[in-house]
Amino acid sequence: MMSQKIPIALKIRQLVTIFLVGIIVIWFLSPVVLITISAFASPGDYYQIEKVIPTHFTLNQFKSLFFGLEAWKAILTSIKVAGLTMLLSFILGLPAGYALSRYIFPGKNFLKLLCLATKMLPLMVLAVPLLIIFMKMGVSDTIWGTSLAHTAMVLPIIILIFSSILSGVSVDYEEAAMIFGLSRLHAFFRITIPLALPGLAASAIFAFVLSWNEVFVATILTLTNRTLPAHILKTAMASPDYLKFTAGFIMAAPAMVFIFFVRKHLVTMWGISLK
Amino acid sequence: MISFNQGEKKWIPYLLFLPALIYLAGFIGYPLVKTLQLAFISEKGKVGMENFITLTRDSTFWKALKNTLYLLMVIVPLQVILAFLLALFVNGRFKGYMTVLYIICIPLALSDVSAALMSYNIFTSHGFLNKLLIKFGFIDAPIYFFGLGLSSRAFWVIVLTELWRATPLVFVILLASLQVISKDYFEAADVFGFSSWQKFFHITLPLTMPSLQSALLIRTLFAFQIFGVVWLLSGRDIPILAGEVYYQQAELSNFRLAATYGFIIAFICILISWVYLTFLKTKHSEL
Amino acid sequence: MVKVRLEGLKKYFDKVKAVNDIDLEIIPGEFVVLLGPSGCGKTTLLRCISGLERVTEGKIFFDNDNITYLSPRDRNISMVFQNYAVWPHMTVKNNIAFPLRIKKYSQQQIQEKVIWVANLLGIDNLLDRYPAQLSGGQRQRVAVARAIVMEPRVLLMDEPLSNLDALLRVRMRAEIKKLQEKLKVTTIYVTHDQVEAMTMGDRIAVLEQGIIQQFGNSDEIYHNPVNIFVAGFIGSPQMNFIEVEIVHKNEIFYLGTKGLEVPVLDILKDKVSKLSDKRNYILGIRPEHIYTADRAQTDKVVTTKGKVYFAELLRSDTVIHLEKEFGLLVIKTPGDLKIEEGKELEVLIDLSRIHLFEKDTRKAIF
Repeated sequence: MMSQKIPIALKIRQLVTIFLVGIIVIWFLSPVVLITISAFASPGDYYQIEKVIPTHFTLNQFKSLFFGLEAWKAILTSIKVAGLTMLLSFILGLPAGYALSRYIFPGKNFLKLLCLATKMLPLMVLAVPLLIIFMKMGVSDTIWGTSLAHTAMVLPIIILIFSSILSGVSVDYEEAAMIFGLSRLHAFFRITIPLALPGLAASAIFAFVLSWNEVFVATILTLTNRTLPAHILKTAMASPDYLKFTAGFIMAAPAMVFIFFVRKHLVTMWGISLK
Repeated sequence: MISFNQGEKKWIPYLLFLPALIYLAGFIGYPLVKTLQLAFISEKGKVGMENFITLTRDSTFWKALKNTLYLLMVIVPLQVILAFLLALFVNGRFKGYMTVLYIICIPLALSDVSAALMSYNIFTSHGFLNKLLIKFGFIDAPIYFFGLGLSSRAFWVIVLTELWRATPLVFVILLASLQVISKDYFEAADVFGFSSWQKFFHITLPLTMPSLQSALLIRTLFAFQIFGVVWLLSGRDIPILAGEVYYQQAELSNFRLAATYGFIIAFICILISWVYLTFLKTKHSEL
Repeated sequence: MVKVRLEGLKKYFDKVKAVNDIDLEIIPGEFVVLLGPSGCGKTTLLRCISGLERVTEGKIFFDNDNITYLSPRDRNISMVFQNYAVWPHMTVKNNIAFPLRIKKYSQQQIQEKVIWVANLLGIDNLLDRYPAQLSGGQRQRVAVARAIVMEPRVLLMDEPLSNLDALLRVRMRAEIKKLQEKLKVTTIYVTHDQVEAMTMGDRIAVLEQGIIQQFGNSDEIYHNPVNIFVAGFIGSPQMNFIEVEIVHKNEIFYLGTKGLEVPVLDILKDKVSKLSDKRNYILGIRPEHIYTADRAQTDKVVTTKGKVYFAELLRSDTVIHLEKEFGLLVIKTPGDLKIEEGKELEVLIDLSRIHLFEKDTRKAIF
């Protein structure tokens, strides 16, 4: 019918799409690209006002940041805290997620709602009393304190994510294994876990990234054992600009790499965690 | 989901959930109670509103409240609209949309601290924006965005940064809901001769409404927690509620006032959630 | 070969009585089909036997062992699932070998048995593939192979053919039946498809509302349905049901309604004469037991006339819907008939094939 018109309309559509994609990519990517450039640019180039794109690059900022400002210690702390958070939320979240995905029981909806409701609570409310509690427990200003707080933040989300991932593995597979000679526990470990592995790995990374990025609680709970974001918040703003950019880059880079690995799960994961 | 456990020992699911529940009770429930204690008991041990009175006598509180609300009213509507447009666009599934999706999601991986630093990198006196404008002769001397007396400029940089950082959060929720709309509905609409606008208003919009609302709610709640970006870009020049919690706690070690601020944030959040859930529930959202 | 016996089996989900007091005895090596519409409790019953559901009340015996409270893995059963449940992260070979590995067979035994069963089902060339690389039919064969490789005491099948296309379904029907005859394993097979039930089952248990309505071979189920449900569920097109009264004229009983009067044959006379109430009966006659005038197979018939409302010309058969005072009378006759809609047609009802049911209890009188 409209065979004459379609090619032109299609072409225009294509051009518009390309144009919009261009704008989107520039808008979302440029801050990341620019901080990467600045992270490596030599301070001399940075302070030359007419030099938009630097031409001299150096690793000096990394050196002074790592060793002068002891960022390596903060990075190590961050990794430990995020790792512990990941571990704790797995140990606690996996059985809870399994219960939500496989069982029908009175109170199930309440528990789900409870997990959702925790997201209404701002972290600020928890940070202050947690500090007092941790002081009493003797874990204030330790890696443990920060991880415990981060786990409280991550766990409700992780439970919901686990529940959805495990629901994605058909009950039939588990039942078949039970028929053919495994107990429920063994069926879970030998059938369900391997099948859910990509999703579980993605959630592990997700938990890690959430903890890696969290700054408010981490800053309030620690004085000496600061995680990287907390360290930057406290020290970097008082340092020269070029060091700030390097710090920003160091913080962003691993998170972006992690996210690249879980890109297939992006929409589901954040979709659940935000709903 | 089928339950294949019916009749199995009934306490098993509870047992599985118990460790997590205990943890949440200990590290969320108990601290909440503690916050109430701190907020409602004065330094002299009197139960009452004394901390709140102290707070409201301080002009910073009102500034912080005003700024937070102001930020929220600017950022949230813009974010939801932008995210919706983005989601509609990406859901068109053009060639390479997965790559675009990934690029849009990059800010999700970043902390507010690094987002703030990225925007500082662009807007500072020797940042890319100033250098570019000077290079092309638009200006002679750099424009300053940060510093004393420039808080209205910094405000807009914060808005831009928050738009950049958190629009993807809303985008992801909306995209997820767009993706589950069955193609059949659109094909049926095509058969009945709907125009693109009609399809949008009669199919897409009503079906994404529940997610749109929950995205709105989530964003509003998160807006009360904006901290890192504001703190790094303007310090206390633009006081905000979350920043005051931090300030009272970390700089002044005033646990009571920090907890009072925290309580006020939580109270507003719960109030808003309640309003949203009561008045904005669409009929088909329970389907 | 093992005998399966269910005693007063009940399974309630809260208030819903999915399985409601079932007694059943399956003889060793028998192929029993649980047949019924969706939601009749047949799958729940199977899952109770498998141990995946724990029964609310009652007992399950394999021979003389009470296995009611054993976990599935201790029952020595196997199962073919509706969606096959072939584990996607294992090759075909590993899928089949899995039950053997768990039962701690030696490597050599496993190898032998896998090869044996793979040959039996014609999947020996697929052993190294992953399920994702298989077609639905092939996956189904793997599921069957996995189920029989460890020579279970009882083989359970939950609508195993429902996800196959029509052609493949017919072929697998025969194959599974032959396989079962060869292995002589006691088999319980769940389906909603009466053709599967009639062709495969040694005996068929027709279920409705958690209760076994009738348990018997296909002959009994088809020719002597015990109630309206079974009579209506088995056979296609469905049996004609006509509300009738009993009339006694000139020493002969008639089952009559407006526009139809069916005399009762002498051999059934006793059963009718004993009925005190003369009203509220349902006459049942299958469409294939009403003949067109030229195809009468017996002279014990009664003639009735009506206008052709609609004719389904299947060419192999012809199904005619005839307008009568009481509604439509459906007739099925073999062959490609030239029937014009709107035309008067005379048909013959086979008197030896009629059924009579009580309207209130829905039970069969004959």
